[in-house]
Amino acid sequence: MSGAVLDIADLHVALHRGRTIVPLLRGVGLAIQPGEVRGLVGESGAGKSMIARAIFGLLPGGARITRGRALFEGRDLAAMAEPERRALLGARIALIPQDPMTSLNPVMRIGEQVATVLRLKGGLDRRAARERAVELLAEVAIREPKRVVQLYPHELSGGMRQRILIAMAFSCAPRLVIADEPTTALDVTVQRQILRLIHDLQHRQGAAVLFVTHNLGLVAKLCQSVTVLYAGRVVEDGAAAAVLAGPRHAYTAALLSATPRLDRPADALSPLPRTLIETLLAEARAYDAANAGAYR
Amino acid sequence: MNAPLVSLRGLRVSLPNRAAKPMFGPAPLIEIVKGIDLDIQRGAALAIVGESGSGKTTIGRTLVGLVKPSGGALLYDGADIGRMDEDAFRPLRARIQMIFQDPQSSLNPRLTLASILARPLEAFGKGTAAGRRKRAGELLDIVGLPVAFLDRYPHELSGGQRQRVGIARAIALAPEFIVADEIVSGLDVSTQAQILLLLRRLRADFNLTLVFISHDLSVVRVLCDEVAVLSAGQIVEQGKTAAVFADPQHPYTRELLDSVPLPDVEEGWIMRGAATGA
Repeated sequence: MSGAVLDIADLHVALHRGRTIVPLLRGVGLAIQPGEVRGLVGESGAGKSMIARAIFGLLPGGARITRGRALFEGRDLAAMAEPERRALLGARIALIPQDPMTSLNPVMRIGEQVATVLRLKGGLDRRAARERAVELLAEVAIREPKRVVQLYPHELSGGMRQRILIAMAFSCAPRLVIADEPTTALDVTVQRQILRLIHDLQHRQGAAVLFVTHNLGLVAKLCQSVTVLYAGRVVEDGAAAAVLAGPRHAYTAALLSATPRLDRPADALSPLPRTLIETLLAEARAYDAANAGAYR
Repeated sequence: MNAPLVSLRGLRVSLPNRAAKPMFGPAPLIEIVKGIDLDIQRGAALAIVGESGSGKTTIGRTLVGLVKPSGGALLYDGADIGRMDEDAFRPLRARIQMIFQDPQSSLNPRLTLASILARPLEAFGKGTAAGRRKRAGELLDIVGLPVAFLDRYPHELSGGQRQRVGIARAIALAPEFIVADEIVSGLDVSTQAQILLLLRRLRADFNLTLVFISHDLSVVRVLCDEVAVLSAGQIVEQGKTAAVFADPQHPYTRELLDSVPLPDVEEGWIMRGAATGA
């Protein structure tokens, strides 16, 4: 689609180990328009993090893009030279990581970490970056930002640390933010505050967001659209409201039935049917057999 | 009504506050559980829910004797186990079991599943070596794992399979009371559903009394007919799960319930989250 911030098509990623080839993404396609918030849903191993890593050029050792494209504002990230890609990351494309504890440098003060991003990616000088860091913390609703910039990560709660990372992600007015399960470690009341923060900043800056999650509830509350993955393939794609209210694919429907709900009686829960999983895996194998060339 | 299996009366628990530990000398104590009254009937499944720092894990560890209360009474089948010494408590250990949050760290990585599952039997001098291995195989079967897994090591299993082993170990001595602490929090939706349904079946098959500690209120609904909502070391609300969830009385319970994102699109839900705080 033209005008998309991110346009991924026919994306194949495979892990090469000696002569064995393990397919990780099997021809994924997804597009995000400017300002759109899209959920990327799947269970572990479905390939949702692999898509995020392919965008950032951070695929694990031995894995690479073997076919397809990932266009950011019309330019192919897969074919881009490293310096060019690096100039985009952190500035035009930003990441909100899953674990705020391991993503911040434990021996560097908060203010310095935020200022570093502003200097390297935003082109500010040392002093301007320091001042802007304080403003940014205030913008993500951190009280006493002047005091907090002097602190180290371990002195902050998980929710505060996630706010800092969100401030850093949005600091250079990115066009695309990839949020990788940013609320998994948080309490539900803090989770909602963090979602609100992402929503507010995204809205204000007009940034597009790819929200990676296994939680269909978060998709319902934050995202306009959703892509559902299984075994490295897109099984369903559409407006969040339509997909959640009337899933077309059996896997999406089964995932919804396997999600416990506090407003439904206990016996409403049903596990994923084994036959469905077997069918999906057989389909993936058949796809690999028919498209063996796509992974070389 | 019969006497409850477990009774807490004004239970208080204090733990060393490591954050405030001086360079020399012991860490000062900080009170985590601040006077709790709770009755757990035989055969009940009670959820203790709350956010981090609420004291729910400390209550769980106190219930199984891993932590001593600092005040109040903890009656198990009429006896105050909070004041018992190790020798007196030992016979009860077989009747009271715990399933831990992280099977990765609670299963010994150097032991096969056969040894892991035989350990509790060995500790209580039950059966011969061959008999214990046979029993370990039966336990795997009960939790839905192939008996061929007996000679595998924990790292060869998936997260869901490891949690099944944790459950198998907990039921090895045919206990009557099990405390499960956040046992499905790290799992995928489909694995989580399987573990919840397994635990529900075991509860019925073995007539277990269950305390299920969780921050996830949706999960609680599947397994527990009663719920106690914990905040800052105190119970703010308790009752039948269906009733509390349908008509919460305490403002904190209401906020907690409203914060859970249900998979229905709802305009405005996100705006009910405070813009400041955290």
